[in-house]
Amino acid sequence: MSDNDTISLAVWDVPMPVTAGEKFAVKIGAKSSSRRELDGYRVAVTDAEGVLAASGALGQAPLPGTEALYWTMLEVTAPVRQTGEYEVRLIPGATIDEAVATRFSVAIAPKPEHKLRVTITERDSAEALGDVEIRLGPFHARTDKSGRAELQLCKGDYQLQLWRTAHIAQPQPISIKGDTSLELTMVHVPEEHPDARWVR
Amino acid sequence: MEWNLSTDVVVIGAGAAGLAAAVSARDHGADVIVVEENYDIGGHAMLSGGRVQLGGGNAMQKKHNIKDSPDQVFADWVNHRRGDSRYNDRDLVRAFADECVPTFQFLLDNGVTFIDKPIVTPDAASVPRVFVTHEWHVPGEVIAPRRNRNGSGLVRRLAESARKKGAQILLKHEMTQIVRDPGKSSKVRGIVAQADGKVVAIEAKKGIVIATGGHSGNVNFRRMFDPRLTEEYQQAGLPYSFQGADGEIAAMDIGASLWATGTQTSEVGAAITKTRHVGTRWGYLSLYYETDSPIFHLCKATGLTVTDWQEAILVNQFGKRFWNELDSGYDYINAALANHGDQNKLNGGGPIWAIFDADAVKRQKWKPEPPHVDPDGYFASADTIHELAGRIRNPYQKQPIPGDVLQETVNRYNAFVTSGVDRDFNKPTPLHKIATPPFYAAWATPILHDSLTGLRTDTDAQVIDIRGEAIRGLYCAGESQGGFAQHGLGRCLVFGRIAGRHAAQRNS
Repeated sequence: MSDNDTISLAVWDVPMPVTAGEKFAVKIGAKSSSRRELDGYRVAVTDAEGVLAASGALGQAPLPGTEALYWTMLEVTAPVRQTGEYEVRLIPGATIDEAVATRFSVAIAPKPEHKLRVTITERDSAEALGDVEIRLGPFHARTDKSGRAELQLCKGDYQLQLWRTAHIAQPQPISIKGDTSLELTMVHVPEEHPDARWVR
Repeated sequence: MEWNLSTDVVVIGAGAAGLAAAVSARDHGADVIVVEENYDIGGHAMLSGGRVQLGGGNAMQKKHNIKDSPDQVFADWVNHRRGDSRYNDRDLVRAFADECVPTFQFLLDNGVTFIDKPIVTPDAASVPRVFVTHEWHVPGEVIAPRRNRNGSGLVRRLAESARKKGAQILLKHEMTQIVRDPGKSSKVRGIVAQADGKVVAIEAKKGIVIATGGHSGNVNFRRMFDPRLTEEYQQAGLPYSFQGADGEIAAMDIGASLWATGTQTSEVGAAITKTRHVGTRWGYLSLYYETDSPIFHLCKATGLTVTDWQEAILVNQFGKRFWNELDSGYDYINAALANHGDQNKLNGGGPIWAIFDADAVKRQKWKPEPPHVDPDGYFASADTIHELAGRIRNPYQKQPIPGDVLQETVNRYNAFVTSGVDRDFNKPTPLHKIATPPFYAAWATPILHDSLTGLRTDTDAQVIDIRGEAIRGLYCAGESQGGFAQHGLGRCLVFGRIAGRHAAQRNS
């Protein structure tokens, strides 16, 4: 690596959660600050113990929408613990001595066995609410325009949380024992007129 | 002193207070010259929401069966239970309360029109007292068009009326001095202004009204009240209306006193605010400059409006998170203004940056490119977080953010999203990882708004000197006036009107 060239990494599209003991895919990209072409360079993923979990070569073309992020998709096998930590680095080559490493984490869950179908409406207007972020522990989904979302999740007790701009809903406990459907509501809280916003 | 111009009353500043003073002085028979440093009238009020708080049982309150009275206005604004009322000068509040109804009528008489709907405000007011003016009807004469900047309708109507009644408004005339005779009890004689590089001396035979709009944009002045407010904090209203404390300074040069200075730091209201539009230098929450603003060439970017702070993290000048991003109150502000480890500059917290990724852009439907963002120091993008850190360059960012620090900050936050628990700042259920390239950094440094303290005046708006005596012929109204920490236009209009009337009624 030359003095004025830094190679750094990005990791994205990490599923959440991943299934214990099963393979999951992540995308890994590398960028040279001097925009060197990095296609063919290899990246490696190691687990918390430093054991190689996956490796592969960067593809030929930069990721669309980026300046020069060469990328690849790797498959990693999830451990059986609750969370997993991984380090990602570029494997040194003939013209590259080192690159800045990065890391990512995954939440691990048993294999999902049940479906939770959720429909969310606004309480007063009864209109379907899209773009609601739903979270139950590590499981999450986002409603479509019709206010519907489907989550695959495993048996257990969860705190169900909903999140949408200018809407509120109290978190509620939920016990998943089989396939379930829920109809939920959120309350619209109009955003204060900015001129009326008072901070204390 | 040789005067280039002579009149009865000189008003310094053509905003809400100055225009009310000018009209009022003309109504009471005085000749009036208004000097305004900007190229157009309006000052801060031009960019305001036009929310006029003048209760006490005014005509529109009566129409809507809202029971109110001057006594109720007074009781509300001296209420010891509230931070925005307990520190107010009760004599000033009494004068304000008694003048609300006639001032509302004064606005109606001078052509100001209101939307026929009362507004409930979250301040000391116990009944709906706010009515909103209509936006000015000529789009090219509204500085921030189509964004509910209805204050344009207030100041345009008042300026129109002032001119019709014979007041002379001299634009691009910057006051540089208030001239006072020598001696402790002497009166003021006039002002000196600069116009196109020339000195213009204007005699004021009866009085001078300071209506220069406050001090929030003057770093040295504002730091008298809060030493944290160093140069990185921008002023709401710029790049149109500069709150430069020029009226306060000119008055203090001839002996004037400040008043109720504690109101500035009482942590109520909008003195210091979290930015709402990121990636632009001017991100005040209710002020959004569309691309057809006549001053957009100065604004340079609209900014990206953040509707949900789940979409980004906020980091300090060293690339570290410092508070729960969902908090917008003074706890957040105080954390942002804390010293984050800068040993070369102990005051001020330095720039704050919003960091987000391509997924946030998609969810928020942002367009992270000019004219929505200002890449000339207030916005950066990169393919990796590490690279992004090195691209954050800004006049107030005194050292580069280390790439490994910002990367560690983001990795740690992403781990909190994985676990659902923010172990550093307890942001409730962090929802979105910052992971998908490209990545973005957008200026999100707190921005300053209200001047809540200023010159000491009596109930006639006469400026009081440091010994407690009135400076004969000198008046002050608006955000340059101290003693009444009410947000918005109400107090500006009332004391502007009082000042103009009293000045006009003086013997020359």
